[in-house]
Amino acid sequence: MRKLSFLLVILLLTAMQVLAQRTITGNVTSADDGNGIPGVTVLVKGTSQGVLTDLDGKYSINVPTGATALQFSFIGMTTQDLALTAANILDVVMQSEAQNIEGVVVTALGITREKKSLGYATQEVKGDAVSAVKSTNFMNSLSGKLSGVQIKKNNNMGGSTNVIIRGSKSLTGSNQVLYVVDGIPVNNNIGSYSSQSTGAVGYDYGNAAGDINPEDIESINVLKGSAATALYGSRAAAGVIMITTKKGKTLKAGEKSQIGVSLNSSITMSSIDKSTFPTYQDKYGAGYGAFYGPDGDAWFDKRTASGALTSTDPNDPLVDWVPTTEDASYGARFDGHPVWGWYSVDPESPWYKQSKPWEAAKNGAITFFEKPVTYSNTIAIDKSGEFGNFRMAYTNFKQTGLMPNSELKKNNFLVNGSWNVTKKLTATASVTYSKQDAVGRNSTGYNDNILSNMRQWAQTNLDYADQKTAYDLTKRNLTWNYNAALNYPIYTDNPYFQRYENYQNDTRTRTIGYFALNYKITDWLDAFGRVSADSYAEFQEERRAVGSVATAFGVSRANQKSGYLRRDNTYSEYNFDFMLNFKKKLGENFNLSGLLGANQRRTNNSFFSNSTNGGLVVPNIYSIQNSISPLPYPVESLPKIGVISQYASVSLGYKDFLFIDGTIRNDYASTLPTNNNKYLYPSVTGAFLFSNLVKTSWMSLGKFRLNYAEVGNLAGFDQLIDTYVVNQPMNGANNALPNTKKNPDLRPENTKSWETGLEMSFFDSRVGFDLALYKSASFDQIMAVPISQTSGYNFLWVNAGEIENKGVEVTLNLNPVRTTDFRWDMNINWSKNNSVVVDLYTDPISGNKITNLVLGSFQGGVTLNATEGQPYGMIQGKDYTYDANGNKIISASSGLPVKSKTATQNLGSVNPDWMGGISNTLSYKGVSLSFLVDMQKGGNIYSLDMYYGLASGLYPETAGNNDLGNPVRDPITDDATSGGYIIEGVNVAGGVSTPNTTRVDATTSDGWGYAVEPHRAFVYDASYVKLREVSLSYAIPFNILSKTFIKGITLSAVGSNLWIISKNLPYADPESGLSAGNIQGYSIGSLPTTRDISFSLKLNF
Amino acid sequence: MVFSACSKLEDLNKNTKDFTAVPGEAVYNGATRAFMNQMFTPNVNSNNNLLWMQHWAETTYPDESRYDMVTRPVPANHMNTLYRPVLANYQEASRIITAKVLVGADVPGQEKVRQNQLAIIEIMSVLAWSNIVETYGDMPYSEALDYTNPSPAYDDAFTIYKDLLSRLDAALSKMTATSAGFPTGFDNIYQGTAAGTAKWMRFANTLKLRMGLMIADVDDALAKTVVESAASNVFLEGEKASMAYLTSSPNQNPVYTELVVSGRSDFVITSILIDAMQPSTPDPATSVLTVTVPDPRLPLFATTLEDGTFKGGAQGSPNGYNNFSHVNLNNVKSTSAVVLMDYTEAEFLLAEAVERGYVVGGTAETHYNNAVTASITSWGGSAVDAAAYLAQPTVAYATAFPTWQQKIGTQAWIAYWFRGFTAWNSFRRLDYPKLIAPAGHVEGIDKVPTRYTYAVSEQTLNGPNYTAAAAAIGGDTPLTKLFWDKY
Repeated sequence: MRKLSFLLVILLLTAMQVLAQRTITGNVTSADDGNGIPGVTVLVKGTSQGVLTDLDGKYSINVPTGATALQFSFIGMTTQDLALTAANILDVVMQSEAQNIEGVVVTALGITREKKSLGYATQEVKGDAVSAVKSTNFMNSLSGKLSGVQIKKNNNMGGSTNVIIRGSKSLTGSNQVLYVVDGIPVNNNIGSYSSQSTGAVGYDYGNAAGDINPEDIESINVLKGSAATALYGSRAAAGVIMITTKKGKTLKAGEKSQIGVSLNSSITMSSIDKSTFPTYQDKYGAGYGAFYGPDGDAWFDKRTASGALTSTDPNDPLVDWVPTTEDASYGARFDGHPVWGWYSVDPESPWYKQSKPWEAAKNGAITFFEKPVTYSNTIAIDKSGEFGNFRMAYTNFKQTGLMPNSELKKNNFLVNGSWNVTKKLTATASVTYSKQDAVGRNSTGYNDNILSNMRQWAQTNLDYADQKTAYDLTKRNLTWNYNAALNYPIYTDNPYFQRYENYQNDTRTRTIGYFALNYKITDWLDAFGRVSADSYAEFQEERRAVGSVATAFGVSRANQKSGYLRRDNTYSEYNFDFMLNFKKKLGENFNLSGLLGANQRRTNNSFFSNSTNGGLVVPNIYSIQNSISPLPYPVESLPKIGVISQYASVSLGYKDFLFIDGTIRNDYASTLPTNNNKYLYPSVTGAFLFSNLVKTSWMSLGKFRLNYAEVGNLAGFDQLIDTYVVNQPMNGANNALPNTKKNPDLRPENTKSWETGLEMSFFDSRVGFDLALYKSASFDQIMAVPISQTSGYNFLWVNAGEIENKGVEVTLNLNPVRTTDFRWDMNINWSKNNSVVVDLYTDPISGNKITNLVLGSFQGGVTLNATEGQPYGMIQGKDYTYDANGNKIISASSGLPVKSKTATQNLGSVNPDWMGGISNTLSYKGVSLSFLVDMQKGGNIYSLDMYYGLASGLYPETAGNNDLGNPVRDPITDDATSGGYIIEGVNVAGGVSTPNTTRVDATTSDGWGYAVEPHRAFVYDASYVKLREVSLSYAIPFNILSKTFIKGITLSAVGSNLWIISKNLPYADPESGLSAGNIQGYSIGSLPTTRDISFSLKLNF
Repeated sequence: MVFSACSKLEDLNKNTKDFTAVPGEAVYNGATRAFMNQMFTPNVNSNNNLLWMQHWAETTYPDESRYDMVTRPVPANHMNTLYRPVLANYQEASRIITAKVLVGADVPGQEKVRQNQLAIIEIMSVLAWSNIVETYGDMPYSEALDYTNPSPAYDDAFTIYKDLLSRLDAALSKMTATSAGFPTGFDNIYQGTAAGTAKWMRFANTLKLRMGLMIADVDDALAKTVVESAASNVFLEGEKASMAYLTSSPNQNPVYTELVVSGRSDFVITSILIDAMQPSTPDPATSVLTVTVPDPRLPLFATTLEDGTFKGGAQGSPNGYNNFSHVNLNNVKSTSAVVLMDYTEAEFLLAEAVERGYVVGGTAETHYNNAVTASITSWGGSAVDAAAYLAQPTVAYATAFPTWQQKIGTQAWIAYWFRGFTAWNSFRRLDYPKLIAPAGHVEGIDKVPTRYTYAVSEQTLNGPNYTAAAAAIGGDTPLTKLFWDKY
């Protein structure tokens, strides 16, 4: 293509001046591959005098006296002006437009601006950054690549990704970033229901932004602060991820029509990172202690081989049975003697009435998982010409999960185009249709979650291959966890039965599209109008097969042994935008541009869900009408929100070095009371490009920026007028007051923020940094504050509360080596955010201050809180008690730590101290190797897995030897043979501390974990260092392909999450969570993390 | 661009699916159901009285039996349920019914029905309030149930109690025994008929009898007045206040929900109860009663082991589910009724009143025999069995125990099977049977708790008032004795 352009330009360029004072020569190379670029236009700035580079990218130009700079330009690459110095050699590296750091960026409302003129921080990444690793959510690929953006993927199949920019600003509302694709806001609802996020039974249905196809992304620009997002208004208060999709290339004057075809095919194979999965102790098996047998003092249940509790036949004596009711491993030491168990119970079991040796499982929990495979294939065709441009693409994505019987498929179709209807009128339109089908998502939380069992409540003797055999043979729930009568499961189903019978499935179809017209009224004024729609329909089915353990299920969340639930959810958002854009030069020194706009937004949601009640009549028919008991009332809601807005923005540039922008926006929202529903908010930004004022040879760019912004925010749907709760009739109708009192006097919320920054690059952009400092305060938040329940309500909707976020973001770009063939680029991101809950609520009548807001209550008595004076997201629970010197106080009589009386001690915030990422790219000719190290320092995570898993004796920590060299689980004696262990700390008597010497009895499940230690012991530092991504790609050189019809071939291998270099949370990934949202810092039954290695082939024709 | 016309943007915010007005009887019905569920559920997160009263023991996780009120916050859940789903909704039902405009043929007749409805709500409210005071001590009362005051002050428990007694009298005085109450389906205790109204009045008097006796140790004169004015109108033989449940979820009997629907095996019956109901040689330290004639209720309460014997588990320790007797599910169906108060309780209370020297008619022994007999027959035993049981010296009133408190207290304890709060009230008032704290109890709580601690949320949401109340009652601990619990 470059060679073709070369000839083209030769034909066009005919006039060349020869009168000159001196000759400048040099090499023009591509930043992409380091090769010389032929056909680059080299112009003496301010003249029409120029030359083209030759086939090797070399040039030679005669420069007249008084010339100050040369301009280098080439299609698809950023035009560069380089100042002339005394030197006669001037080499240039040309950057592709897409990866250009200092070029044009897309800002709010899709307005393209020169990045250098912006008075706020933005950060751009190329589409490759999210499409190289094939993930169900493109944001997963950005962790560590952006500063100030916390991206937390969890391991749920198709699960949601938590994306927080510059800290949480809302106490109880959404803190998730707004996604905008080609100017269209895209819904990002988090699909979890009924307290799934705090650990109740449920599934993580992902967040809706996961529908955005990474293969279609050209570039991503992150708008971090309120000033950057001011024109989007309140919904962008948490920041915006602006996505520009790939389009047919816009041709420059004289360019010929072109057709591009690209194929991209990849396969990804995943395997478990074992450091994120439990290692079991292998010495002791099932039980809670010696509580079994007829006298309640044996390690095993005593039954006959056929399960009878009494025996009169000496040939059929009572034998040892694994206590099937018990989901812990505090039982007898493995000694290989024959024991009967769950496998001996059922006549269809291959081991009916037979024993197995008492030993650690040969096929432990980890053998349960499958090896996930992901296929992704994309074909795209585009055409550009005088008519405009056009692109069509189709992507097929298929992923099998870690759990048996799990699969996620996506099909994405995209058509977009731009049509030059007349010289003045341009029409653009785009439609994306996507369909996602998932089967067998993993359930999350405490109950009904195989992973919670594996991590908290398990028998180390359980052989998963045996469970599989039992299920495969019978298709029934032959579980390891029979109740005492050995006739049905007590707590836990056979995991294979659960995966193959109690699976869920869901489908989401989505259409996003717009139609826009742009009319050039004059050369300085455009009128733009657009209608856009984002709509999706979700359908979800959840099942419990007949024969399952009773668990919370259905719309009532009552315990049910079988059942069927379906949800139908549709969502749509329509936006009507009208804008007048102007751009005018005022005299020599001033550039004025701006816009006037209006927007009308409507969102409609329709949710309907129902389920069977009391179980299924006919097994295996999953239908609402197959209900034993009368149906419960369905869940039904129709929320609607409308906002009408007007906005204006004006930008004034002075002499290309000083830029002032101002915006103002007025919103009129449907969700606020009539007298408070219109609100106005401004922003002002300034950029001082001092490198354009004071030109030096060593400074390529120097910019100082400063901004201030306010953003108002509306209430949610239906927070003004009280309505009653309708419960199932108890003979007669049954109504009740709601637990939250609504408020007809709500006002809009407000956020005020300041930001300043310094951006510099030196030595021909080989060293550069961007530093941002910011502070934001969000106050008058609309939230439901808890009030004393004796008032008759649990919560009251009010305007109250304030969160302040302060932070620093640094991006550092280095280019340590840059030769013709070899190039090394380094990018470092570092950011730190400090949040503090400044104020919560003061009751205006009594003056009573509420200083703590519970965001989530977890199993085990731990809570996540917004606490006045503390960072947002404070884990609270019971702490140790300490003496004056900070030693843990241990009871001299029991040897156990003395726990704090209350469970409201601050145990640590979930927010990281800082986050960082270091990426390196090494390229040599067509080969490129890059690796990214992603890290988080600090932050805390509470592990319910360890809280229970230690008490149930799963982990090696509970089965080693004590300080005397004796098995810790041996009984306590007064001599050197004693078991038990000593918890480090002091006994306090009469105010005097002495080192604790009392042993804790560890013969039963009371010896470890939650029974012994306070919550503090299970709060872990969530720091990590991960080798997040390593990629190796090879682009076959142009000269090899030049005689074929193929324009480019790229082969690449990418590994992601290859190595957790460092972490402190045992047996789990500190990033693992239940789902995206405000509830974080809770590790419970998460899937292990996988190492993903993908191979892909990209072809361009 | 043409924007579609919209009459008013604010109209979008209308919730078209939920009600802004509902009938008062539906609110009363919902509140009563919530009340009954809370009082009778054995769910370890909501109610632990059957464990504290040592009828039941736990199998694997004995936290509640050991008086742990933090791991599962029972005091907070109980308080929350009684104030919000129960009392706030009773108040709302009253408000709606009071505001209802009566139209049609017989306005005076309708007015009588309205007054009966309001009185029924008042009786149930007094019952709920009395439980709150008996459970926690001082609590928000005069300033409670008003969202405009989100941090109400606590009132003195005895002051509240006296006010409740006068509210009960006022409610009784408004009732017309020949008029109906709530429409059918909304009163699930007495079905709302005129005959039901008369029963409501006897129920109110039985409640008054109990409330009078509750304060006997602290204000004998007032107790005497209250008891004597109520005694002649209490439950007759066979009468009770109970609520039957339905066949399907979510309106199933709460014990059935926890024992059957849950599919779990969390509870066994204690050796303390089993050993008190059959001839045995229990540990004298924990024994509360020895019998030679087995209690006819034992097979009705408990299941046998495979060998046909009854055996109880240890209170406060883990127990193998297999090894001990369980709750006999023949008496626990999804539709089974829960019993708020009954003739058995009325007779035990009358026996106590006689012993306290109040003029209520009859002898303590007669009332005692009536109570025990009624208990046995109400569970399905025969009068003959009851007589044989009563005849044995350790049960017969004359010879059973040295004090009337122990005689009545021990038998009442057995009779209040499934009625945890009633049993706990009786135990605290009479101080019998002698239940002791199990080994492994939470450090410092070495006796059966005499109150629930305040909800932890009150410390943060109503701090100054909480602190004052805790000081006023003598400390927010489970062992603080409440104003009426002198001994």
